[in-house]
Amino acid sequence: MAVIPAMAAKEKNIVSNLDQRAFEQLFRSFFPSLVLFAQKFVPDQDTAKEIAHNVFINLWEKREKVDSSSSLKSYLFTSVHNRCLNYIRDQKKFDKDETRFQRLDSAAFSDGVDHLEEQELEQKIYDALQSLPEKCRQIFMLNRFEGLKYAEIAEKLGISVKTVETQMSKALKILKEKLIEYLTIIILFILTHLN
Amino acid sequence: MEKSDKNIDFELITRHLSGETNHSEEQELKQWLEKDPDNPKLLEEYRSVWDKLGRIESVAGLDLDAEWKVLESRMVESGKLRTMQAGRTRSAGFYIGRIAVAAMLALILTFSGIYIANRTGYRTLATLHQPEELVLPDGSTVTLNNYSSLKYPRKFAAEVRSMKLEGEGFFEVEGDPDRPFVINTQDVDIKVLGTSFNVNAYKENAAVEVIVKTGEVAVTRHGEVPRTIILKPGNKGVYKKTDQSLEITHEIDKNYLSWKTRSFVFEDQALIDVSEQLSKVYQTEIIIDSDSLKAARITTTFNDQSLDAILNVLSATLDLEVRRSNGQIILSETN
Repeated sequence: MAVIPAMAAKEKNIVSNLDQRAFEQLFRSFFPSLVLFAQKFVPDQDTAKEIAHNVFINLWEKREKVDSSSSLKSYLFTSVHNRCLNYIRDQKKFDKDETRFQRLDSAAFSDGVDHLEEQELEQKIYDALQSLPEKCRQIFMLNRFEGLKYAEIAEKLGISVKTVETQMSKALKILKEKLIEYLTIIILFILTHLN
Repeated sequence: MEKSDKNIDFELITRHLSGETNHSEEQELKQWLEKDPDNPKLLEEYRSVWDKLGRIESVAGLDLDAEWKVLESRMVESGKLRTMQAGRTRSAGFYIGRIAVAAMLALILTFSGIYIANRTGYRTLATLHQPEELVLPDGSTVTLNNYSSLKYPRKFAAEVRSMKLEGEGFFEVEGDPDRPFVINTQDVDIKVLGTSFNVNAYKENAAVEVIVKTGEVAVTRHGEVPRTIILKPGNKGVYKKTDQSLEITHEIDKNYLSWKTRSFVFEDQALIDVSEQLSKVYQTEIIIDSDSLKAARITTTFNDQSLDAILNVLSATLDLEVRRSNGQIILSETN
């Protein structure tokens, strides 16, 4: 079930010839979705970021040994998953209140890396958001993620409410154009699995 | 579908999704929905895009430039990049890699901070274990403390000079009444006309502190109810993350700028406090191996001296022994 085939093809042979630029490209393409993925298992974003960073460092060290025939993407997500499990295990050793980690623990074991479609979708959403013009993205994020009203955004940035309104619509329009095909595919995917 | 799009003010759909609509606008939207069976579908598509964005909320603000820089510097620090030079592959990529590493190492030897320029015309200066001074496009200067970063445009906009700070920095701002100088941090924004001041906004700290040396500075708290305080020289603005309070105090630590000046004034302070401040500024771990020594009091000043010189003074004053081991400095009582 490859939802977004283009991505899989592109990343495949990178690792056999992983120079620094390719490595940076790889990092930029996968870091946000790896952090999101890790956050499903570990309690805070700093830990999630640390784990994702370590996976990339490890990949760089082993870049000549990684089997380039298998998908680099599943390698990255599997590594993050394993490191999250290790983290939970280590925390348990030091944390007297074991119950705190039980929920995370069961989640970690039941939800592996079999469904990478979800991570791909998140990466697409992230990329679409990043593709917005800087000002437009800033305004959109203030409203969507920080819950600021149009008037508050206008005051904060020293622009008119009308400009905020125009930029908000522009952002939503671009995001829909970029994302709608993936969203419908995912909806179909979920529906077919429910039946 | 294109037709339906044109039949309604698209801004109304956006207003609806972002909760900006009033009652009569909601009525208007309702009428539009009933007019064509395709319309509810269209709204659903937009709503779906709107909702799905929530999934990436926690990473939407990730600064990939800064993250890549962190990874790069960790790899350099731990010697991973030298390992790369000794690799066995002899592909073209390897040689390009070598050149890239050589260029990067040269850069790191030149500055301890790393500049990253990206496509959108921003630059990021990130420091590692020592402060860096930087001249901004408008001539203002910034000194960044250890492990801090400043993201700023290569060219400031016509109406505002804005930038994003993580960590701590001392700013000396060129006067320009028509173009306010605005520093965004995670919790507060700092707006100035022309002045010098220090901002301490490390993510891990419980508070953000702004201390003004000259001029006037406005500090605005983010969040539901914005609040602004105006700081004058000798004022300190403190934003506490726990209760989101933003207050002015006059209690200013004499050594707030030591990280930049390497000058310290200690008045009857415990050695443990002194050693903590020194270890931050000189980025060296200092261990005191007895409780009585930790509590020993000291009054002294240091003016841009080396850590060795300072340790000599401490050793003579308090009659203590200084040892170095694995990069740590250990202070113990002489027997």
